[in-house]
Amino acid sequence: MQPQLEKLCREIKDLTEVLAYNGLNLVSQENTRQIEMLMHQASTLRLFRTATSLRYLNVELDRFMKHLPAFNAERYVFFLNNCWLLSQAFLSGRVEPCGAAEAHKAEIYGDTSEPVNVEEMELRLAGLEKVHLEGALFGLIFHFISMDASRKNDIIKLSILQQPKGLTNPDVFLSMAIPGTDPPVPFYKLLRKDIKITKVKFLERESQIQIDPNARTGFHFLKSATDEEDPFPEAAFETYAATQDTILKKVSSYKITPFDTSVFNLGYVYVKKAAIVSQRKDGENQGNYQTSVHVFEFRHERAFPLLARILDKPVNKVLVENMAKVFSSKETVDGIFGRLAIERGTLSLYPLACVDGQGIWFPAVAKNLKFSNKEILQQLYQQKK
Amino acid sequence: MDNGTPTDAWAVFDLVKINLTDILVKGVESGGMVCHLPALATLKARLAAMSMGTIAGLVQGLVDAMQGAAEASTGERRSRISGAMMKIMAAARLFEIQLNVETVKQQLAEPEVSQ
Repeated sequence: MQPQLEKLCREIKDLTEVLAYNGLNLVSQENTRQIEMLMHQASTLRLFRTATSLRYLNVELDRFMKHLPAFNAERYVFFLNNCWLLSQAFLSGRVEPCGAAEAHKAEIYGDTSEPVNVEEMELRLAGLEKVHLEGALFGLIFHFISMDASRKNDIIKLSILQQPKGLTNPDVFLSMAIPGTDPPVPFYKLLRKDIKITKVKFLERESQIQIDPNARTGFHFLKSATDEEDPFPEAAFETYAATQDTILKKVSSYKITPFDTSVFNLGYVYVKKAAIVSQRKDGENQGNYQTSVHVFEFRHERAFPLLARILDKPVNKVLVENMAKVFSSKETVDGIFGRLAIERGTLSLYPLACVDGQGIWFPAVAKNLKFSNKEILQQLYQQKK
Repeated sequence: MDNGTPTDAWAVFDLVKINLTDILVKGVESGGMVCHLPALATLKARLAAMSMGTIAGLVQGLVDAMQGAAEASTGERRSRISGAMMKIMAAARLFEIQLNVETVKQQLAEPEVSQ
């Protein structure tokens, strides 16, 4: 093992053991500074999984020290545990950087692949997700469906994330121009148009594109630049139709690693003829150890039970309201597209888009999205204060 | 995990998480180490009753580390106790994922009937 790698892993192991032994009452800025330093060293040595775990461990410690309600002890323990496990994986000698099988190496190291340049991609937005990890990240994740023959119907993500810096509602990004676009193209236009993106970086393993301002990534409308919505290619969702067989295949082929969270991600699905039959809130009386969740129970075309479990956080307010509206309307929508996970022995859908008689809409944002310049200015002003 | 229903199993996983999270948040020495031992003994008994022998063994390992030899240096003792806690959390998570998978596989194995 490289001496640098061994030294780093010993330091991570020692630090996590001190934190585990002392508990949070003795935690200080010195600990977070040390974690930051270790995080940089882990990135330099391309231990991306370790670096990410250290980062989130630091986020939770920071939240704890600032008495933020977003602090979640379960998440803190998960990342503390993961940092310790990853350092042990290296120190035990079972993961030699040059000797391990590629797949196993990838598990321990994290994604080390580099993005490749792609000349052009034809895409249509299939799902929208808001992200706010208090104190760490804030923004939107666009989930596009590919219309190119080579990646037909693949889901390709574009993450627009930055440090929160006082901003509270990621909707603010939708009214802003996509970086590098000339003439400026606001993000909200991506919600309803077929687009062609040119000169973009593509990270295959994460199925993620990155805007490359240096290469002048271009956003072009395939049909027209007007605000009028292009018809959504609903047939593309058939690739993700949720049936017992397709989900069972996903579950059976999933490889469990010791570094996974207990929430088991199964990728994207399209649930047809869905209605919400009940709504409740779980975990309200679990103190500081858990964030409560809004639970919606679906009835749908197939027989298996399905829930939506949405964390009770301000960033999810509109999503919860929109799901509640679907529940109160008692209507059956044509389909819901989302990310499927297994949580506490139940299939759980995180809704990214709904299809009804009027087309596709994104429950993370208001159905008739309007931008209030006053609100945006207020947020930006708060950001600068 | 032969005994008990999946609901019992989830309850035991919750108990593992609550007990260990409590120690990891408050610290091993908070209130004196001895105050953690009765809760850990109860946890071990619950795990054993559910035939979760592996995790029960790891909990016993933590109890042993907490009651461990006085001649061990502070660093060694801390490493043993923290290591034991980390192993329990990792094992519990792996079992939880497996329980997750098996429960859903059972649900999906029901014959396809359109509603």
